[in-house]
Amino acid sequence: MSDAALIEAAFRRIEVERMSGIAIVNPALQVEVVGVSVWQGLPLAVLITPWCMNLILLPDRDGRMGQERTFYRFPAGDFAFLRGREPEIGEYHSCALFSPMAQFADQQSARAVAEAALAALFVPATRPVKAGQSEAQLSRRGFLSGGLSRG
Amino acid sequence: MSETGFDLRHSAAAFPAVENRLGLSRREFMEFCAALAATMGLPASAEAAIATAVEKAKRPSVIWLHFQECTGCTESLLRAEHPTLEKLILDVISLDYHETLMAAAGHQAEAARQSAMKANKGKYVLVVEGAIPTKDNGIYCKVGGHTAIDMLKECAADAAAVIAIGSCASWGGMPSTGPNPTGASSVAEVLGKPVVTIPGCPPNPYNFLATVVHFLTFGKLPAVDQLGRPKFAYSRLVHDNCERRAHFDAGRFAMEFGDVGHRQGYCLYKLGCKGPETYANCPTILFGDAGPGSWPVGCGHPCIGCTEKGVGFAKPVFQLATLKNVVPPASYPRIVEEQGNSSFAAAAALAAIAGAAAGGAAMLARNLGKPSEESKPSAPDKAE
Repeated sequence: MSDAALIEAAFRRIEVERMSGIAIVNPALQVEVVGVSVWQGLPLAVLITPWCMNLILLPDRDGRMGQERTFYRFPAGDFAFLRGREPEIGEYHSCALFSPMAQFADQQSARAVAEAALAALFVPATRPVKAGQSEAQLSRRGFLSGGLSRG
Repeated sequence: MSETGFDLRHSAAAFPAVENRLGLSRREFMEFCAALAATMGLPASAEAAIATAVEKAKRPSVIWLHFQECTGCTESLLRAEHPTLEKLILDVISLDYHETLMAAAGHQAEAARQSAMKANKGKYVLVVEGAIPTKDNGIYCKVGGHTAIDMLKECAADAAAVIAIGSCASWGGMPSTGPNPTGASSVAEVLGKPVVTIPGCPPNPYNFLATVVHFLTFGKLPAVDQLGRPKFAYSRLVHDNCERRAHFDAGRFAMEFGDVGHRQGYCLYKLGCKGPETYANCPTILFGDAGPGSWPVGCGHPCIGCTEKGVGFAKPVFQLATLKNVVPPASYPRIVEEQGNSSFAAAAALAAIAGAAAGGAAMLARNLGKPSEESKPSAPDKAE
């Protein structure tokens, strides 16, 4: 089975076994793994479930992930991942992006955000502001464009 | 913290005072500035500006009023385990009136308040701890013969900034719990204008201190959300950075106190944890500098939502969190570029960027595009 299929199998099982009837679940959504790629030797994807959306990193061949809470450095910044373990996929690391998922009207919206998150992960972070300058002087436009539009 | 770019010889010559004043080594002082920069979500380069401001700026005069409260906010500030924190708090600010701490009593105390207000007119920071009873013309809380309402209005009139510390001052908190017999109200309600709020029961001392130091460094209060809470501290749900989050994602819940799941550190949602509806940075900065686990969920108790109006002191502690339509706030803290210390801000920023970029998610995009005009603190320099 592919990595995506394994993750989906694990979280579909969790949905049925542990999450049924819980108010925090958005019934409009389903378990889906979006955009599997390999980052520094580790399979990376976004996991959408009816109760959360996470970045997810699978282990390399030896099957072991690092500490319980690990910071990974992506171009967009340092991301805190927590370790999990499920029989289908073994140990993995996940970074919370959204939960609860009530703001997503349908699977398509969730998928669009997941894909945008993966893309944004590789956009370099904005440059630090100069000392003495308020962080607020970095405009929203400047923030979103990685500082490229600041003149 | 890296010492790159910091000349120790130069600093020792130029700033001997701060070491004597605070009883700290230079390294400890810079670590403190770095911690505050990180708390505020500022890049590491802001440390220098903070250090300069703390060293050189005239300490702002602070008048601290106590109304309907338990003094827990003050206690949390003073009893923090970090041995230097209370020194810093008392030295970064000039605490000119504080009923719990000042040696003066009676008329002498009230005279001290009047003279501090007069000497620092238009420049002092007013900190309010506790709710203000408004029922029956405010007779349920009087200090020196004056009602809390009158004292608050009098002190706020000439303040440069007003900060409501703790949940009681922020929206009424515990004293406003139904049936609210004294008509306990927030600072903003009594003054009729928004103020910066640092809710929490107790609030984290670093969030208060970072707010004051922001004022000291940048001459204005930090950006706030629609409830007046500094965005650097209250932009993400407790749930988002919770150390038990992986258990939630995998559906592993403690079902009752002391069961196998509870002992294994499973998610506390089913025990009533309000993490999914409460904005605060408790899971990332913890409490009291006492190491890992030093926050409610870390030691096995569900979050009671003490920083969230309508949740803390309003909902039963063990009632399941209800799901308001939680959307990412209009602006997240900026991505922090670190010098070795990692931060938790990146995931929040990514979520915001992703939401904005994905135009298809109409609800998200609408909320992310929302201007933050509605939130203005009471400082003359408006929050961004």
